[in-house]
Amino acid sequence: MTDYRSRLLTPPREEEEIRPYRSVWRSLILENSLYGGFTALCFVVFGIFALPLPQALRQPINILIAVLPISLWIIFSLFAERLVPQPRRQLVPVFLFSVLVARAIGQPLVSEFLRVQDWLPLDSALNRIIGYTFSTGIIQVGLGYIIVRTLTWDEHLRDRHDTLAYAAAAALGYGLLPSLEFALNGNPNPYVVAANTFITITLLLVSNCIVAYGLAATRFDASPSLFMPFTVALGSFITGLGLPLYYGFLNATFSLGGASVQRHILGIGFTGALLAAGLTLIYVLFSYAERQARERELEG
Amino acid sequence: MLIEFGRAETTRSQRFSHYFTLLYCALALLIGANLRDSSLYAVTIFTNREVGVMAYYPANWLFSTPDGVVLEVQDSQRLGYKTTIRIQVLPFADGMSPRNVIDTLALGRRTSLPFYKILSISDRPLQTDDITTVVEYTYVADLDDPFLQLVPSVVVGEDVVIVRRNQVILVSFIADANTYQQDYEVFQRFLETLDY
Repeated sequence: MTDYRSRLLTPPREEEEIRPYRSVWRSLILENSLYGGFTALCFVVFGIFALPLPQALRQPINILIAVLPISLWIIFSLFAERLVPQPRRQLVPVFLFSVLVARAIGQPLVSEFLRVQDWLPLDSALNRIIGYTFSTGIIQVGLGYIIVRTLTWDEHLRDRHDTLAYAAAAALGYGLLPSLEFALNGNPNPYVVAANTFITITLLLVSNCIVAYGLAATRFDASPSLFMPFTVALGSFITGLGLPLYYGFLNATFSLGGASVQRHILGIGFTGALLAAGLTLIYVLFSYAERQARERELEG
Repeated sequence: MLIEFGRAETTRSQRFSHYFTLLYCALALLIGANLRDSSLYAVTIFTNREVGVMAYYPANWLFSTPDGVVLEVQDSQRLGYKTTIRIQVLPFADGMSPRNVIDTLALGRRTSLPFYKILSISDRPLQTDDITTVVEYTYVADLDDPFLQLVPSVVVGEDVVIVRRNQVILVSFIADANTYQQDYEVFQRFLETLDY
């Protein structure tokens, strides 16, 4: 029953939790919003207004665009870790290991063992979704899971959000070399490099974050044994769905009088929507899991 | 309030969840490899009862039967020179040797194909244990279109001469020199399934 004898007009403030860890959501949203905005800016400047760029400058600018997500991560995540009492120590190893594993295992498996470039791009839409799920999707997500699980389980997973921070580091590490290779191959227009880096990082990030949810549920919620493989399957399905949809938008017949420039509106728009929807879903899932954990604590 | 989490032991359920995930990844990769095989190695059957030839050619290749050719299939997805597999049936009289067929072909091609050169002639057994004569050659292929802005391609070809009673079945494989090795496995599979 409410006690009206209190002299306070508002209810007493709840004691704020002082968390010794960096807030993952703030940096995740900031980094990706900035890169999304930067991609849109590149599209406007280099795509719509077609700002002429000296040929000698194009490649260095493309390289900068491809490594920008990593730079943002270093500024907003890695440096921010130094400011908290208990930083996540495995972020750099996870990132570096992801770069190496992507180069040594992931890319050869996709391009030389499964040879997706030879059979998937011209297949039917449904076959492409299934094909990318069981090729690029499962390799990216599976390797991401193995890296995070191996390097962090379980002493470095102290908080539910640790899995998210490590999953984001793994996604950025895995996406670094493919983005750089695209930027260096054929001297493409900077807005094309930005759009390609944006979709590469977004797909990796969203699918890895879903796996991070599974990892957190396994670590902190005693979820059933099959929940973790389910999240890996879901993550790979998102990659499998996202890749053909993105390239489908790029190849769509939609045209406002130009050639490829207008098609990139759809591609960048799709990537932005996927990022927003993916992060919102993961945020809701994490919040729900946290609330349930608190309720369990109160009941127990 | 400072939240501290102690290190917990990995439970049995957590261990199993890790094993199941690894198992799922391996299974999914196998499914991916299976999808790749069913797409890359899909074939279409070709039968010609008149000549008595049955073959399986790649499903997504372009099929045609020009004059004097029993079967011609081309990889239409290739840029530049389209990798081609062709079957022809030529007469083979008593007293002739495969070498006569090869020389006749070489003389004819020398006038029609620019820079035609034979690289090697050798005998090779097929899976049916039939000994065939294999000729490897090269020439420069240029599409006869003055508006097509393409550099002529150096192509490499291989003729497999199979002698059958009073006929020679000539199976040819022609590909751009740059993609020859890569496409050759398609031709090997084609030869393995060739029935005559």
